[in-house]
Amino acid sequence: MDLNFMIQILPRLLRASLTTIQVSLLSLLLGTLFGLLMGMIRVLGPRFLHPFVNAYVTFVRGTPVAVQIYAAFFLLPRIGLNWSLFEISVFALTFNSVGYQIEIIRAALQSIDKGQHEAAAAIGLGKWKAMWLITLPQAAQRMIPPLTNELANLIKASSVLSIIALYELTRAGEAIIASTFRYAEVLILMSILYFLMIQSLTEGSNYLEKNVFNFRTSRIKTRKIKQPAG
Amino acid sequence: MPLDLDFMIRIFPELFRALILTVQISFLALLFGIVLGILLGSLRVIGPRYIQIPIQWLVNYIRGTPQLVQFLIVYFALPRIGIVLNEYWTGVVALTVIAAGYEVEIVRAAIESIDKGQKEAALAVGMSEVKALRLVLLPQAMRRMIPALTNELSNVIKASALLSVIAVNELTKVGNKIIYETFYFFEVLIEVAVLYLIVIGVLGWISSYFENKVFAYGEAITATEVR
Amino acid sequence: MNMNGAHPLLKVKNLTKKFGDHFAIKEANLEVMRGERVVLIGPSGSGKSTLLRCINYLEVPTSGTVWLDGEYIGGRYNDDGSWVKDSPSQLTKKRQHIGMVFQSFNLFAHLSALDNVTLGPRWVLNMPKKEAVEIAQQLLEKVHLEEHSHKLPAQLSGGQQQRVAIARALAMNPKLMLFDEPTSALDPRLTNEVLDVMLELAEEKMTMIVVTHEIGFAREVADVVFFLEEATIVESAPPALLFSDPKDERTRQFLVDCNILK
Repeated sequence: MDLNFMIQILPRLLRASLTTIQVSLLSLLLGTLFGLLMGMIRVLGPRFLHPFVNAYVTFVRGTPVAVQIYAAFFLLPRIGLNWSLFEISVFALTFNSVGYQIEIIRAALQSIDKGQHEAAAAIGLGKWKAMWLITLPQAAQRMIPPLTNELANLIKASSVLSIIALYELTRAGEAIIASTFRYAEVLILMSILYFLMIQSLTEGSNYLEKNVFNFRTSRIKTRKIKQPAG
Repeated sequence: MPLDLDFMIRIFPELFRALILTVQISFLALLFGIVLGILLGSLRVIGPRYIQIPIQWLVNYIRGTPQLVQFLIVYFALPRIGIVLNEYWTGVVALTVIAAGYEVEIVRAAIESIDKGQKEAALAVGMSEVKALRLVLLPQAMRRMIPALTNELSNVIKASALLSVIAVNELTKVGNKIIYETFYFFEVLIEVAVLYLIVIGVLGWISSYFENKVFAYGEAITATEVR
Repeated sequence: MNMNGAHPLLKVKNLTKKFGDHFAIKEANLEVMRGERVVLIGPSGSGKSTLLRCINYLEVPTSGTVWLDGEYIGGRYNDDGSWVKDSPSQLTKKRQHIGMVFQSFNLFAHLSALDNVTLGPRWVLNMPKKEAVEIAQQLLEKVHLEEHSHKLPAQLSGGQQQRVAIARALAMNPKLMLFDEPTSALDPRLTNEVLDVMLELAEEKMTMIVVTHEIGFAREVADVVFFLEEATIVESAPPALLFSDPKDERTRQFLVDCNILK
């Protein structure tokens, strides 16, 4: 094991790790946005939309992420979108993540006690308002552990982006291996970096869950809600 | 964009052969993974601490790093320790590592889901821990694992797409090859996706059939999903 | 050996079990002669079950020793005061001589009643299948379940499950039977079918220790009743004496609370 060599390649791998984190975090956030939308449609939306959401989920979960990445890579330019590799990557991972996040969000929304809906209805809130003001804030805390898990999965899935040559951690590692043939050092460093990224993000989200989104101990002031008229 | 159906039919035999290979490799990996999973999962539960901890490290490592990295490790490390295998068996080994990592957890969860009284009763009859595990806990745990294991097979099939990077001629790799030869990427991607969807759909259907089926006792442990 | 010089079948000496800082049972001493029937009573949380579970080391005592028929179980103090521990396989062997019946039955859920009973003899005692089945059938007959031998536990009532559990314990031909609140999970009718079986066992002079809330059973069957409260053995006496004229105020109070004494 050549420690000097490892130190020498570390900056390259770290820069690539940054891309890994950027792609994964962006995909998580965009995924949550669309996931929320589609998850709420799945829970509250008109029934005729449900099969479309379900078909989407089935497609994402029933095909390997590699195939989805290839599809984005070949199809996006064809429909006239001249995106960079990075943008294509974010699109592909977001597309993938939404399929998993819909289920997370649906489960969290449906886990909120039915009494909450009834109480909201009793004070005259409509179902979308009740969703926005009552259910969603309470469901948010329950979504954090599965979303953390989702972020870890995205970081792992982002390594597949190396197949379309996005210069993230795995691609960078492969490139170094190809030029130096010192795979042991490179693979060990890659493993450590992935592990550290996933661990630190997990810890961070545990902190968020316990300290920020916890309704009992949160220091964040709860928002004042206007009294419904009448 | 009209689809060239004739082309799709023409490439079907080649893709289908690749699909068979994909399923074969995945199924073999699942089977080897089950054997390893039961062995390591059991040790994880009843073994001495100095065995339990490394097993948990291994599991955390496999679950905590990308599958592609593990494939590369297997791909480079096997020849280095003197094991020279063809692509097919390299693929099986690589997938087995991944399958085993997840199956250890399935086995552990299934064993630990069994009521504590079952083990106590076994010990009270005079069984050793090993016998209690073999005769009382594992037989009950096995049934609870079935849905999770069926689901694990679809995980392994999805993971097998990554074997394309280590030159295994599975479905994704063959589809890719056709794309670069013909540039009919739309047709190829649709056909590849549909083939995966069918296999994984059938497996998902089997898995939920087991999950919904009321077992004579106890609940099935739930499956985790991987990309 | 005559009664006076006889050594006890079971001897529990200074047994203490702590969970964290909390004493579950404190300095318990207990002697049970061969053929003796002992009942432990006391309020919930008084340590009766813990004491019982420590006897066959399902719960490892914090300190103290258990002797069965002159052999220690789990571990003992050497002459120099050091602790000698049984290896797992030694402990396993010694446990075979102690049958145990649990509050929640704990029948092996994947096996029929018959297989539940034969499992121990076949795989622990290495008995041939035919012989084990014969014994099991006799035992199932003894607990009045011969027609149910092919059923899975889930297909049996609670009372039936508990009787299978008794047969399962008896199949190992134990020197001592422990009953840990065997009827607490059962309604009165099912309780009676289990108590009847235990009564028959008692009449055959099976040595047994029973943790129970069934005062009637204690009165009818027990040679000695132990009263426990707050992790200590408060007193012990034959039931006729204990239930009519307890020495300790705590026992009296408990019996008054149970409407046994005025």
